[in-house]
Amino acid sequence: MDDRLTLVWDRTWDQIYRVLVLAALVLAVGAPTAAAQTGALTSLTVAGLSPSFSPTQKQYTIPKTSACSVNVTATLANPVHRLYIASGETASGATRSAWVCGSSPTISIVIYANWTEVGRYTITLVTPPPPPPPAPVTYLSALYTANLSPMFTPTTTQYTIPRTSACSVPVSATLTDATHRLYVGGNQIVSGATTNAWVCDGRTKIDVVVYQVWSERARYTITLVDAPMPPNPPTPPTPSPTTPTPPVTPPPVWEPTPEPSAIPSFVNDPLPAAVPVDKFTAERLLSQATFGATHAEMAAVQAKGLELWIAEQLKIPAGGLADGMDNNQVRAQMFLKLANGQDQLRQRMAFALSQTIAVSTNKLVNGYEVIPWVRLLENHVFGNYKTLLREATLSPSMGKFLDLANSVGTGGNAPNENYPRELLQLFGIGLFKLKMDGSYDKTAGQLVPTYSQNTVREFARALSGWTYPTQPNFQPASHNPDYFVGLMEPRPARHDAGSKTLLNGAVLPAGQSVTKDLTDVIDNVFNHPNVAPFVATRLIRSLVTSNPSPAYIERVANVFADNGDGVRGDLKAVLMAILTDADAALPGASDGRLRDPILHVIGLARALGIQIANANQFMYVFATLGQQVLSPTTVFSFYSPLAPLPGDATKFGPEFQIYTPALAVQRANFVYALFNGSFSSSFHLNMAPYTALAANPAALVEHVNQTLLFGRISTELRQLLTSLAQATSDHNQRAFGTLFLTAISSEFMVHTGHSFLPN
Amino acid sequence: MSHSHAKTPTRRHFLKLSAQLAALGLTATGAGLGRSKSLFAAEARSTADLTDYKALVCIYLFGGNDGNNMIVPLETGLHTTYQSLRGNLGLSPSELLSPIADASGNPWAMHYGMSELNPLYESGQMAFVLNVGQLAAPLTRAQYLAGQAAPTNLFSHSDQTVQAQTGLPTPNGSGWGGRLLDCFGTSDSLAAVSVSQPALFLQGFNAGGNVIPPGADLRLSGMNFWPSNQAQSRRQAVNDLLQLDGGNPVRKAANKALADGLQLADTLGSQGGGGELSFPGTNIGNQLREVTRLIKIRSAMGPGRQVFFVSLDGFDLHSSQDWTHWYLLNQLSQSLFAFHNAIGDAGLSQQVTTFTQSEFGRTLQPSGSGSDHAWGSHQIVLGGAVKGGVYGSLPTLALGGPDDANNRGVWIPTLSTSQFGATLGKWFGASAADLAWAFPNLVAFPTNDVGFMLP
Repeated sequence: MDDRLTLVWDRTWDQIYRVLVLAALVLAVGAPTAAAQTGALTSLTVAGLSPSFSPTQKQYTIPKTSACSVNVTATLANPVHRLYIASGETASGATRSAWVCGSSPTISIVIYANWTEVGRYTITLVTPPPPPPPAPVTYLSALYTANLSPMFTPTTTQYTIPRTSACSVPVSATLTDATHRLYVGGNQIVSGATTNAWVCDGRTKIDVVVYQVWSERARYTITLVDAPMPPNPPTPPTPSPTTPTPPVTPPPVWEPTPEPSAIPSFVNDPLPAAVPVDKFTAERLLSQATFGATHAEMAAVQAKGLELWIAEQLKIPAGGLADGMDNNQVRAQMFLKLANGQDQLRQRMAFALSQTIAVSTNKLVNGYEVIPWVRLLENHVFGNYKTLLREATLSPSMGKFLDLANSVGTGGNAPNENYPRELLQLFGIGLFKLKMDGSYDKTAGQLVPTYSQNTVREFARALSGWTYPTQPNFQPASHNPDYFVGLMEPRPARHDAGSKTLLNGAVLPAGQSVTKDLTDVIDNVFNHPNVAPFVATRLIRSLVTSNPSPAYIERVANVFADNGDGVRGDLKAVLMAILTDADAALPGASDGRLRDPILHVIGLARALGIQIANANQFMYVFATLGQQVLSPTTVFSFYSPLAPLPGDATKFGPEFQIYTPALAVQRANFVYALFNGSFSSSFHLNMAPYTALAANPAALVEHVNQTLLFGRISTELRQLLTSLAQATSDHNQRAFGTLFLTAISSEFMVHTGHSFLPN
Repeated sequence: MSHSHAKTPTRRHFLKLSAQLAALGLTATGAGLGRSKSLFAAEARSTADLTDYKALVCIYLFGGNDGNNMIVPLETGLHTTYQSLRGNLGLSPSELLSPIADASGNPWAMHYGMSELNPLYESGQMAFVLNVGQLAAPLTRAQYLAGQAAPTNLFSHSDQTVQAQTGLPTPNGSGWGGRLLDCFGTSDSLAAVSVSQPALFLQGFNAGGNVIPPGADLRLSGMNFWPSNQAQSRRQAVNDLLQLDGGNPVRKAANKALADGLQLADTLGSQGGGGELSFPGTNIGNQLREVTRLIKIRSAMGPGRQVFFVSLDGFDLHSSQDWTHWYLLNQLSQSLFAFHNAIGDAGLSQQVTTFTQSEFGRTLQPSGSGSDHAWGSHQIVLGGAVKGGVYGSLPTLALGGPDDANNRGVWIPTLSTSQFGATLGKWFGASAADLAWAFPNLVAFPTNDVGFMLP
């Protein structure tokens, strides 16, 4: 963090000294080099130092622990030099205790010759990587119950047995370590003994758990599965010859799993002509359509124009996500996709839609539960909204998150209302009737609700009867255990096949298959007039401005309703409409929006040309800032769309819900830490080009203007930064101050149409 | 979520804070509640100038706390029933504290992990409120089973957490802690503070929750380098930077947020450390230490209102409940005790009221070594202004009985979160009209003052 140097030194002497040194260098080597007068250490001892010390190695890390002080012992190569460890003068060879508690601690070891800094070693505290998972220790040497599948091995933790009418199931298990405790179905048993596990009253599994004292060491789960479904429908009875009765065909007891929807591809679409645009238009587009403009993309957009650039982005395939990661790794990988991926428009759109149709790692605790969801979104964000709704409804990840998986509508069970409610309230139509311009469509001055609790119940009935996909090598069961590859599977025996009344009086007749009911549900929601303004509003607010004009919303909603070729729900047409609308560009027409923590940090990296390497180092900070990737805390995602703009309650400012005063300071401090190298192995800002210009404040400020602000700096900000640079004597501080203040300025942080013009 | 573009704000009266507060930049902001009236029935809040200071501290127990074992009836018949139905989860005599009595003389006992709180109950500063939970309107078992309007997604953590914090049958993005602050037009940086994570509970229409984690350094980095006069120039430049907004309201709001944060850091820094060393070194201990510090700072500035959000996670005890519940309640008890003492030492015990909340209770009937999600649960209220005792009614301890939503001891609440919140809100100084606005379904219940606060 901050250097707290409190040296007092004679400036004149320093200047003379510098001139003499410089002269000596020029004479010696013909050009000033940094290596000529270098301060070095011959030894540096700190617990956990990595890499091992060598005098030319300047950057180190040590693992961050709960301790607030760290002992540092350093020895100077040249005893004439002075040694400062963590801003305190330390004798060479002595040990200093450095204080390291703070948000992003580093320990700076600075070497001075007289009063000039000639060497610096930096130790950054990093959270050590999680320990590797312990090698599997076997806690049970035996586990037996009738029909256990697969056969017991100590490293297998998931088993099934067929459910019978019996309520007690004998289970025996033997511990490998007799000092451990063994619990079967919640009751402690003696190792090797047989106990009866109770499996009625809604129990679906038997847990066999091994404890060491009170710590759980192993858990083996035996899931009860119902008898597999017969693959063939029974043959209909032949009618009696004396009484001509129509043949009675009972409904099929087996239904094929729906196929996944085709993933749209635009590779063969013709490209529109290039229509060059100015740099201000280019930056505006990139701020809305990507995670931040880069200088390369700026050149591309200026040459191609909006339509061609967007059309080319549509052709870039989804970046995908590897299997086999845990949620921490998934989050870090996701961050890299957003920061470095080529498919920027796709990712920005997925980011926007993921805050409307939200899941969270708070409930989907394993990587394999979330990864399919990420792929689903990015595959379908340019297709049709109806397809996206269908895929989301059939997604096992969503099925777990909102409890649609294994929702049963028969046998007196109440089908689950969680997903049906959110389908209506948050993904589709909202609570009240809307006009196409996004405002409420009132009747006699009153808001008109779009649905009632009864409607939710009817939707729940219509969506009952889905279960998780069947795992490979397992028999399909009527109630499959959690599995996240593929689409959910229909189970007619668990589906409420009665007639249902959906939105706008639409009636689904009795006797429809599970799949047909679902298709009709999606149709019913998708065709509700509210969907067009609802989706238009959410997307505009996420991409462009938190307070779009009614006219803007209406223009975009109209494109949702009909893309020009008679198709409803064409998301790429909607996206094109949003980004090319005059309101997205006109000064003053839209006040814009505050960049989220993710958009802010990635925007800085992209403008500065920094390729973020390993997001693991700083992902935890995003949790503190209220926007941990893929982990929103509530069903409203990271912030409520209803949050007002602080200071003007006639406007909305959802992003401000995670930009309260203390959070604002913490965000600025995070930017500081990124810039000063606290996370340098992930985010490395090379200060050299800026320090090189620092002798000329106006030139320095202009370079920062071109880099971070793409040339649109306001007169006031330019003056402020130039004066500040002039008032700062140290060139490093000059450069740093200019960059830092620009990075936390509202000119950078707020995307507006207006500020993209120079003034 | 759909929204309206109503452009006719209703003006609100504003609080006049002391000059000291204004000088420190902690004045209230907000220009009125520009929402459709029919959505929120927001009338101009009448705010006589506040003449005193009060704070509410919400301790949220994430996961669904088993209130059944927090306070246990000792009356012979009830106790025997409790023991037999709770099975392996039942607390034996050695797992209960010395008996306490309610106003009618009925004996109760607390979970043995809460030993620090027994004397607090004896001193009359602690209340138990029985069977509180989410309700749209009073509900009997027959009505519930017939499908009458009950809160949605009753056993889902995320839904019930949202409902517990918003206190509304249909959440609208605001929490009842924030709405109580709205009643006073209070929205300065120290008004609504979470010391753990951003919390919906604190989001009002005007008030916005600030997150001040314990030990967070809120000073802006990069403002302290040599020579100090140049560092001062940089700091001054930051102040100037926060005045540049090009006439854009979003930029203006962003500038104000950071400016308020810097002001807050200066204020907190100038007040020095706490000296509150007598808190346990647990997560919740640290949080309550921070709350103490912020209460002391803010109360010294003059009249005002604060609402805090503190949290403790881990109550979703589907297994191993016996020792885990002890472990969690022990942490809660120790830190509450330290907090109560620290507030008492500061002379503020009449002005600070602390209470627990959780998304739901747990089934009376065990499930293995733990219990499952339930509904109504018991809560604690603590403070010098509390009228000690046991309030509300214990549900009939019968599986499938008249208070059971099914057959596992899932209590249909007899007191709603609205009533609980309104009782606290009344103490906080909100008028009857304010409370009706903050808790729109309050009118459905027979009483809006449970009685656990001193008049």
